[in-house]
Amino acid sequence: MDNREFVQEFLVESSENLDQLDRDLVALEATPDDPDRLASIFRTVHTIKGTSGFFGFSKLGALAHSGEHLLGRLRDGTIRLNEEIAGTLLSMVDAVRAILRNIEETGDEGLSDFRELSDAIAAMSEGREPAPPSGMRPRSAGQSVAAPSPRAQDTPASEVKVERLAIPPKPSVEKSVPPPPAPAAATAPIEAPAEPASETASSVPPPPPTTVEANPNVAADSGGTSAKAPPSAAESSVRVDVGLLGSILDLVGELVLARNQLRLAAADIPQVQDAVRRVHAVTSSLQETAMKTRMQPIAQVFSRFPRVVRDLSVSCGKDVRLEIDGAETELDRTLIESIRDPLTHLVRNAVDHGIEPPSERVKLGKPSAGLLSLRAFHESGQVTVEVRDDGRGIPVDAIRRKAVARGLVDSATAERLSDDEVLQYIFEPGFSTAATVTDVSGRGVGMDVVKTNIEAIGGTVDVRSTPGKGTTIRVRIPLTLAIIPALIVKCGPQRLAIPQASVCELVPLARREGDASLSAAGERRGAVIEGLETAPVIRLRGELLPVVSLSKLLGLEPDDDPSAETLHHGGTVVRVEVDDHEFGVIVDDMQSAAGSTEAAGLTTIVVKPAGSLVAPIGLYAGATVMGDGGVTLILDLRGIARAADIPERLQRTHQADIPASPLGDVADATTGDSVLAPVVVCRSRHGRRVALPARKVSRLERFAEKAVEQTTDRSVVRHAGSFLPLVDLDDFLSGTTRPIGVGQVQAVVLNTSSGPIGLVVDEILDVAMPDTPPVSLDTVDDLQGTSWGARRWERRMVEVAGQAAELLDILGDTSTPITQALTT
Amino acid sequence: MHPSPHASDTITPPPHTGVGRYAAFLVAGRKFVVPATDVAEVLRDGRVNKVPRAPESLAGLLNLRGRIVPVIDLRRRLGLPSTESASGRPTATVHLVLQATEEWSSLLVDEILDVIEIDAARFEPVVSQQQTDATDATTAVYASDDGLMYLLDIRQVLRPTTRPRPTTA
Repeated sequence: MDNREFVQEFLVESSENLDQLDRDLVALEATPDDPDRLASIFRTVHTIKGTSGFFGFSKLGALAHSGEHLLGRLRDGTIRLNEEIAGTLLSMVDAVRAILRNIEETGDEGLSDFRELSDAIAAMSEGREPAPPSGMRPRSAGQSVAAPSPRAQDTPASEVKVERLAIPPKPSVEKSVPPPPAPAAATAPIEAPAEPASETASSVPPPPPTTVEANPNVAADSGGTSAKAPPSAAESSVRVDVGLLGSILDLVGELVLARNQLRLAAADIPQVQDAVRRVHAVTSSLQETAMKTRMQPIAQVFSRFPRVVRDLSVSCGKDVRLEIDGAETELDRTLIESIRDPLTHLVRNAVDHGIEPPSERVKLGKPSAGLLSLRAFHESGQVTVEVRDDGRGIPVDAIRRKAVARGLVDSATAERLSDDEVLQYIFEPGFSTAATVTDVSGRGVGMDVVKTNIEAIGGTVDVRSTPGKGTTIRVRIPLTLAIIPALIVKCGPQRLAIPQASVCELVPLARREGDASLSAAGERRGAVIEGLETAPVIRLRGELLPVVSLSKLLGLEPDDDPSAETLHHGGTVVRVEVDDHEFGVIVDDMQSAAGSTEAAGLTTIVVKPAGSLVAPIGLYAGATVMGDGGVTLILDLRGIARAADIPERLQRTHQADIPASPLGDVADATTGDSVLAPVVVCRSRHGRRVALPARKVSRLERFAEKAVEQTTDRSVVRHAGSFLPLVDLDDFLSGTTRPIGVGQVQAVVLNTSSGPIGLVVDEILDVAMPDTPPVSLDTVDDLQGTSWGARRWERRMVEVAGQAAELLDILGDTSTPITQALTT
Repeated sequence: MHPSPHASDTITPPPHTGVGRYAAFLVAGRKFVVPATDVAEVLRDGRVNKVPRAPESLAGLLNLRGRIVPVIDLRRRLGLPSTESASGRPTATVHLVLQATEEWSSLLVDEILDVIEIDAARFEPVVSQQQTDATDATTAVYASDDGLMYLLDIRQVLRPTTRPRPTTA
């Protein structure tokens, strides 16, 4: 993790605290017995001590510690504040400032150890009269904070600044834009010619007091407000009201809109093109910069968790190790605020419910300390925050029972629900399975609120749990809410926006089914919609992609002849990915982008809420105003996937790019062997190299152990509502039938005339074009006496990448369906 | 940027006491009034962008100088008898843009009548044997010289009562 950012934050924060300390100490002198103020001072110094210890700044820590000790005595009433003590404390504040300044400039605390000051503070804590060290005179309140007394001796950094005040200003552009992380490096070369480098500063005699007196305000603020001084962290960042930032962003949004309008209007006027382009460029940068002002690291939320977890584990009697990863991940400030409470809740849940007490863990053979991992990362335009524990997991059966008991589902249905579906009930209001209600959680409020809050900002919550192993909760939230690039599509009379972050590619559709067969062999043609009417798909690089007809889903076309519509639908498939769904959205056309320098259909839109009447429809994420003044709805792809019943994509580890066969299925029935067609080469579990025609392969998929269901003589996986038989490739070739055994399996899913079949292989080796056309060996025909029934295929060999492989091409005319034996 | 609880969730206060100014308008031959202070503006021709799969009472969305405003087909919302043409297009074309709630809205009405003054004491509760969409959304009635004028509860009108039509998968 990058410490520098945190140090920087510490510096900014401390600088503010120190200013407050100055004020408080001075006020305390007036009312020495004000316990609240004293407590506040104590806390502030304590914080500085603690944080410096965290970063390993020992001098700072020691100094703050001595101050804290003195303040403790004051708080106890052992000693009473007097001018001397106040002065010494203020000197301590100055010294802390000096060290912080040194840290900021050089990265370390500097040479001075402020021993005299520490001694003086220690002496005062013990009620002794300190021997006033040379150059350190206790100051009175009357002198105010402007007195720079200890600095001349003790704080070289301050001295440099004071010295600089006397130097006539010299023009310097670079200084006005200091890079905060390394100001020393940036400013040093500029200063070098006119001024001896700061290393020599300690030898510079103390400045004449008059200089300081003349600039009391500057001296009071150790940061120095003079334009000459290198700005400190506190200066290079400014606190801005969030509302103000919000309105800037709104205005930028309006500007983006106006820019888009201008571009449309000026498309035909050549004289203004340069200006339009410039406005375009400037607006884009302005927009980007404005967005950045609202981005903050998620560390702001994460930073509180070590403490939260510590306190919780103490009160719950747990032993928890917290791992934090990706704290630097940035997201919109408003979102940070919105995820603070939900995440805290998830963390509390994990410690209280998830992780077992140490004794129980040891009994289970787990390390006694539970692991709680917090991870944040960017993923396709979204931020994912993962809260994972290795505790007992969520008791699915208990939830199932509870759901039935609460009447959320009838018991027959509950039995049929998958574990993942059952887990969704934890998001029901008032649902809790905690056996005991603790202080922390378990009152049955929470997960529903978490979900509601996250969904309110356009995010999702996803829970995965394995009993005994732990729970993983993934919160996905959009990076920002305000201005996003989007693809504008047309569908019937409607214009709709699809967030670009989810768009993977555009696939043209063949205009009519007839067109496909008419096109010359090898010529690239559009995709064809296949499959069931209720679950249309297109074939894309050997994989099946579920598609949704937007016009049908949105009711933009009459439903009377759906088959004709899906089969003869021209237009484009927009392949999108959202969460675990991957599907295609069939649209008529892309919006033509007149005068746009961007790709057709792509434009930047300002997301506005579509309102409380549109949100419940569940298909729209918002709305935007287009360049022509019309309102365009932004599609909520999750909602679309839900409404269209798109199956969740199964774990796919092998994202092979299977080259599309130039002839596709057209060639299948007629030729089949004369042309080179790409093949998937795999190794069977017994080491046979087998090539499968890529056009027959619908997908390559890895199935988790628990997904595979075993019967006495066969294995199946449930997939998209039906059963996919799994057969070991060696068994298939030799005609045996038996379950595939346990463990995770890699399968090649083939489309055969009688349905899909998953051939289990050891490894996918390659997806390639064979070097040679296949050489026919013999035809395996009608192997009687096997439980497979009749099979027929040609045994052929091909050479792929210099190595021979057996080409397994299940012919279309298999008399008995291969899968019939398995599924019946 | 993220949704905030709308003012529409609060209960409509009873009409103020004393004489108030109300905007009167006509929908399907009936007269309705809303407090004049709730009216932001009146729009004679606004381009309404339809929202597919929306409840039929939502005519669409209107771009009001960058502000996206839902347009309520008041006649449908109140379940009043149809006066529409065979084309199925709403005949009401006048937008009564309201600022009664944090989220502005526009009511499609047939005709804007006038701004009138009504003494709050002269409003009477709506008595009806049957609960209908129309009675739900009208809080009181005022018997004027030229007929009954119903006080429209805007927040109730904006509350989504009709469930969105199911989507075909």
